[in-house]
Amino acid sequence: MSNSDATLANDKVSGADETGGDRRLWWRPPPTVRTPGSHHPLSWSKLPTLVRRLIVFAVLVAFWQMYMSVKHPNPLLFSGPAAAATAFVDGWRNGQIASATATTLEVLLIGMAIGLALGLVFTILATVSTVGKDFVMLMTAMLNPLPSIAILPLAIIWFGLNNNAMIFVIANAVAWPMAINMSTGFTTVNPTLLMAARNLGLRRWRMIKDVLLPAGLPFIMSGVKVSWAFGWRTVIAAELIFGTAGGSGGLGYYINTSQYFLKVPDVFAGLITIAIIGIAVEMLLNLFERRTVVRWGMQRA
Amino acid sequence: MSLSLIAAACGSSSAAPSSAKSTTSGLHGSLVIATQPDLGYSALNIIDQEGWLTKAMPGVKVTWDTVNSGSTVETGMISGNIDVGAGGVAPFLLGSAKGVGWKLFSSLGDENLELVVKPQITSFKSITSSDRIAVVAPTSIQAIIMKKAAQKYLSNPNALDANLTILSHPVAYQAFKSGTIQGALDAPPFQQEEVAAGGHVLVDSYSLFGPSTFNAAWVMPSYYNSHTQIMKVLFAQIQRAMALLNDHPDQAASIISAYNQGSLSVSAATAAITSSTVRWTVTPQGYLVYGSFMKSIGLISTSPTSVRQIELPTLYGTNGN
Amino acid sequence: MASRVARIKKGGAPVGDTTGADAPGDPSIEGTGPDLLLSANGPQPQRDLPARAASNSLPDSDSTLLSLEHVRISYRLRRSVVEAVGDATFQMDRHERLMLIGPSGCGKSTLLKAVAGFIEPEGGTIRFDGRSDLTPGPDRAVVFQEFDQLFPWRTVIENVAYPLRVTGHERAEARQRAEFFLEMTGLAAAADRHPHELSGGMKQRVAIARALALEPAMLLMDEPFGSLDAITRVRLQGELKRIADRTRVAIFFVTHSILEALTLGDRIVVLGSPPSHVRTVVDVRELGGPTDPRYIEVQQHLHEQLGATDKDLSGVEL
Repeated sequence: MSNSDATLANDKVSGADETGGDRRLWWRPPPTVRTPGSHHPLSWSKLPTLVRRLIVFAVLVAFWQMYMSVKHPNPLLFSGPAAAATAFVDGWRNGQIASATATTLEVLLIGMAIGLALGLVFTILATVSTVGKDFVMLMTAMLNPLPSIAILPLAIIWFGLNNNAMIFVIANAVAWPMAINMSTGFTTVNPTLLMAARNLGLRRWRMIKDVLLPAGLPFIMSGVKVSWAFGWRTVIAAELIFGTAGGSGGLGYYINTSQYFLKVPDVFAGLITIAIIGIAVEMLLNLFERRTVVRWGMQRA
Repeated sequence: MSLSLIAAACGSSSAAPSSAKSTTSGLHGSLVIATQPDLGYSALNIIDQEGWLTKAMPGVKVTWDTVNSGSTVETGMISGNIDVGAGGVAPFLLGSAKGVGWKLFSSLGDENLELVVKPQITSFKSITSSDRIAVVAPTSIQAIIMKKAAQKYLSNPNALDANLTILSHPVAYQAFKSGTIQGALDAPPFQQEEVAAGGHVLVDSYSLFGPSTFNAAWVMPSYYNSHTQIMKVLFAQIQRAMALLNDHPDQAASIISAYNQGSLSVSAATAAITSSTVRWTVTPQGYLVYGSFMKSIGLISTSPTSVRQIELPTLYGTNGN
Repeated sequence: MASRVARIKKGGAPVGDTTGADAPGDPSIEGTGPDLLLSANGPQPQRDLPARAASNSLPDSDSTLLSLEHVRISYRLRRSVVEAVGDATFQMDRHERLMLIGPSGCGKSTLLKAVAGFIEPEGGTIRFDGRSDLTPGPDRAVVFQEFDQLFPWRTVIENVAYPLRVTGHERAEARQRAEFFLEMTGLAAAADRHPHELSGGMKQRVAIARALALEPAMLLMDEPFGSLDAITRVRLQGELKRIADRTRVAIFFVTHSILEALTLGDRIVVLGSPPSHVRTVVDVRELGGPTDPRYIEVQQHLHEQLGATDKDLSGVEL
């Protein structure tokens, strides 16, 4: 009790003193303390991010190769980095991975766009009406924990064996985590900011568009990240369950087929493709965050 | 000639114990057998349900795994987690060509597989690009049959690739009934159910390839050589199950129904077991024909030229092809 | 008072020598927008109100802008109902600067929020410009104590210009007006920064500029300098005074500092401890600076009024 009081008091004092206005920790390390190794001109943390990442990547590949050299796993079960890289290059050259990636990304992006839009609509519904809130709370509680892939059979009955069924399943996988994060973003908007906005005469749609959405952006971004992961898992799992042969299957189908044909390096090439897309999207989202919430001081870099 | 080939195969596989040890060993150890949910594995299912192996070899710990995918069986066998696997003709040939090294231990029966289609499809030429035909896996025997049919009726083995959809048998059956797919090439009892649901048979595998094995049990030669006595007991039990299936189908059907825990009625099991499309035998059939076709369309690089190359001693003298 | 009027006239034409002092203030006329409106404020006070406020306003002869009659406000805690404001009754004229002072918890911020339209009083009436059904609106622009009342995702100038866009101004005009008020609050150099790059004092200046740009009939200020350091606070008080002299905007100012109230106010309303009522109203218009002998007297009086209501003066700064 007395402890928490002391903390509160400290907080208040520092808040009053703080002309910069940022919320900072009231405790700060003494200035003489330095992070270890910061004296060395070649310390790890001083290297450019890209270099650091590349080194980590190289170490991972080295471990992979070491595992291959020491354990000699059966080539019908496991592939080394060299064979995987060759299969990766060949797969992109002959267009198989490219077309599989395009197929998967098309389905994924359409499904995610619909899911994000639905998540937004649900959140707005929950924000403007109590009935909407009850509906969204119930649906989220029921559907969010459900692995989206579990409703694929249902989707096939409703939409047939086509991309629409997959899009539906992905949209379902994306909409609920999005709604949860967006609602959190909306409900945690600073009350003073909300009052200021109301005072300016902002109502309903303008309030949502110009205040709640940007103010909730940090949460929305983490919602997008979660959704992206959910979406990926769902699309790959869905493609493993049903894919269309004849060159129009997606990455999951490509991996599955390669496994059936015991083309292990191709399986790894597909996995590498997924990993690279994951890294690329992560970078895009980070870039977006740097240009928005970080630049606006709403989130640390 | 063929003996030396087996010897070579044994030598090449890692950690092949000496065969001398196997002859002296008693019937101890463990045995992992993997099947898939399908009536084509009935012979093994009967042995499992009746506990014949445990009765014949009390000292051997027998584990029965039911897996949902042929590729799981393959991975399990390659990694040594499954001792006796079972599957179709095409995955076996594909693995052999890739150097997996497995050999035929026993056939589990012949089956005439039927492509069942909706009434509006009257010939291969009337299949449109929007029609979907289900097969269980891209490397399944069903997929090979589709390629052969496409070659025969449409002059291009890949002509129907874009129509193929990968679905497990039960899902394919549901999809066919609900009209989301227009054709299915799966297995009994689903192909009979699909005909009952208004479909008709467009082509069957016997008309394309002649009589052929549907599923067979595979074993790695290294395991076979180190567990010859256990293998001989298993083979004897398979023969016993075959006899039951052929001579007392009613009895076999009730065992199969019990094995499926009531999801398959005794009458349906009887109908499937006694169907004219099926023949219960340990003799492998059609491997050479399928192999040469798969090689001719470039699916595999090598195909067996004699059955001896791909069978274990249990099958010597059964006149397989 | 006379000297104040003179100062207002001097400040009435802030930028350049505006000739159209009595011209109709059409803000859309390029290059004249805010200046014209402001210059009109001095000699013709009744014209400075925004159109919508003017349409509802009482006749010009009525100088009362805001009146509170027996206003009672309570709020609900988890188990109990706390009566914050027991009976608040006072009036406020157009262009007046009314300081509301009282001990912690007396409901002075609550009263301000009720005037702003965020809270509905439980009893009594609040009449603003002849209306009593008050919802939040830009005619009573609020400046809060908290620094985070600005939109973090908008630059300083966008923070000022955006509300103008909402209230129907054209883009170019909104920007021009925002530039004018940023100039007035000394923020011209920071126009393209984001709020998080500003000090607390600068943030409060932006909030004041944003509120002023809306040309409200009344500025509601809820301890706007309460979170600032002493030096910045004194500086901003001086600036607010200068700006208020120039724009003649009415200010309803909540504070817990007697000094601040004396520095900025025309009249000071002292609230008692909860459930509070008005202890006294002190007119300090005729009061000179701290050198005025009466200044100490008034300060003493206010101190006593606050002290009489609340033995614990910890919430009150002298």
